[in-house]
Amino acid sequence: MTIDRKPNEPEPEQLPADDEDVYSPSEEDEVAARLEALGYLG
Amino acid sequence: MRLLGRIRERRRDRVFVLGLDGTPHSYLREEVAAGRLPNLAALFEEGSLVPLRSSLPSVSSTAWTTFFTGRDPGGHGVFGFMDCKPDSHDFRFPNYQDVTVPTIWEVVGRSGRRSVILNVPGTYPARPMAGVLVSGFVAPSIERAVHPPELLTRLRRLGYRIDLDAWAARGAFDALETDLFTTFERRLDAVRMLLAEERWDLFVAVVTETDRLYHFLWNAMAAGDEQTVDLFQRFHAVIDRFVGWLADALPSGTRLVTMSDHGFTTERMDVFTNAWLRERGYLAFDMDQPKGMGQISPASKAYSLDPGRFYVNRAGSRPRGSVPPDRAGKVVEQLAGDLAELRDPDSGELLYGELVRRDDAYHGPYAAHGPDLILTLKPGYELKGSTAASTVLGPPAEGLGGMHTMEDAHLFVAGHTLREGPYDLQDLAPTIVELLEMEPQGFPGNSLLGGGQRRSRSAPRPVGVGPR
Repeated sequence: MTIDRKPNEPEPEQLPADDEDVYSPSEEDEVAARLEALGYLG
Repeated sequence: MRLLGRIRERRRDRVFVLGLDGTPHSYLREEVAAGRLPNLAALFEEGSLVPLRSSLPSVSSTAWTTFFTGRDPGGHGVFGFMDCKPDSHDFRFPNYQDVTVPTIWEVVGRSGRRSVILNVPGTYPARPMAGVLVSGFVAPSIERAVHPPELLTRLRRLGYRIDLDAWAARGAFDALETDLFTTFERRLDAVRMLLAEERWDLFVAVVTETDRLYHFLWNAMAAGDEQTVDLFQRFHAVIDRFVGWLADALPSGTRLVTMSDHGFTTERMDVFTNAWLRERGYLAFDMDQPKGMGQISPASKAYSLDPGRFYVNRAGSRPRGSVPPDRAGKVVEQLAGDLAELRDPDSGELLYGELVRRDDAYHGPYAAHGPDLILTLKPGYELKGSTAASTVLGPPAEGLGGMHTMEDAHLFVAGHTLREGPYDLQDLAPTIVELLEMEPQGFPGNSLLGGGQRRSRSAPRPVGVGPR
């Protein structure tokens, strides 16, 4: 019943370490606020 | 000459997809039966309207990315509106740059065909493609939401808006009503402009105003509040009139598809999964009022993200991870058993709906990034990943009243009989590609068009514990 990766399965690709090239800090706040308005993150 | 004529004829195959974010199949059926949506009723006579199963979880960022890549989250990497950073427990917001597998419009573009993509959630920041793209939710600014950049001036001239002001509209009926219609009209202006000015083979336009209306007022509508029912009817009537106009305006031979990314239902209670984990001793924070998952205590065995995503707090790249890899499976099993007993503390009612393991839910290069367990509850119980909540159950937050459902999204395809169901959101990408008279190869899902002898793919298999 374990769901860990099988020994021969490849390492997963890594997600980006940061998103500074997508969202500035103020834009990140804006995204968080929009999500919170709809009941996410709250 | 005849061959050239046939090639030209084939190049005229077009598909227009109208996305109505969150609009349930059952609601559409009821409104059509009541005679309130005459244009949609006439349209639905000319094809197949079926219930559609959303992604797991059925939040818009995940669902729309599943739609436009034809892959489950294990294949495209977007498991929700937020995730933990790979090197810490701080939140990050997955975005279009995370999507490295081809989108429908990129597949279509490889054949020299053009797309117009308007307001599809999860497509920010915009990137170059064959055609034009205007990002949808959660784009924080229009400047980086438009490709090609020259389109920005034309959109600004229309007064185009990516979204209504959700904070202003939440709990404020009049503000919601005004913003709902205004934002929708500007959206339609953009559709009309792009239809007139752009060359396209695939056009996808998404209306997110439906989702906003449902998030704020579904409960009131379902309870029969007169003012709200009237607003729902008036808003869906303008959608219906637009569909009537669209059906006439589209070039001859265009296949019209309408669909939604998930369904909606009444939100009775919120269930705070991190409060439940704290209560059960799986999770602790280094402070009483944590502002996010970044303050997780290294002693924690598990944590949860919106909605119903449960992760073992593995030791490894995150400094506050602590469960050794060889112990992770046992934590998952213990957690699965405990979640199966999740009850409403007041009524004693069992809340458990379905619990799916990562390997059964997700397939592809990003599957290992997915949650260990994904929980859904009985309809009416909304899963929340707040780190601040101190009680497991609570009423919907002020100004909110409506929740997504995985089942009961809708799909309509004009002029085609669909194969036997069930119908999965993931299967729309190959379906659209086939509607464009292209070979639907390279997608893990199946085209839904009838007559084919295609393999069937079963829904994620629930964990074999707890009641069903």
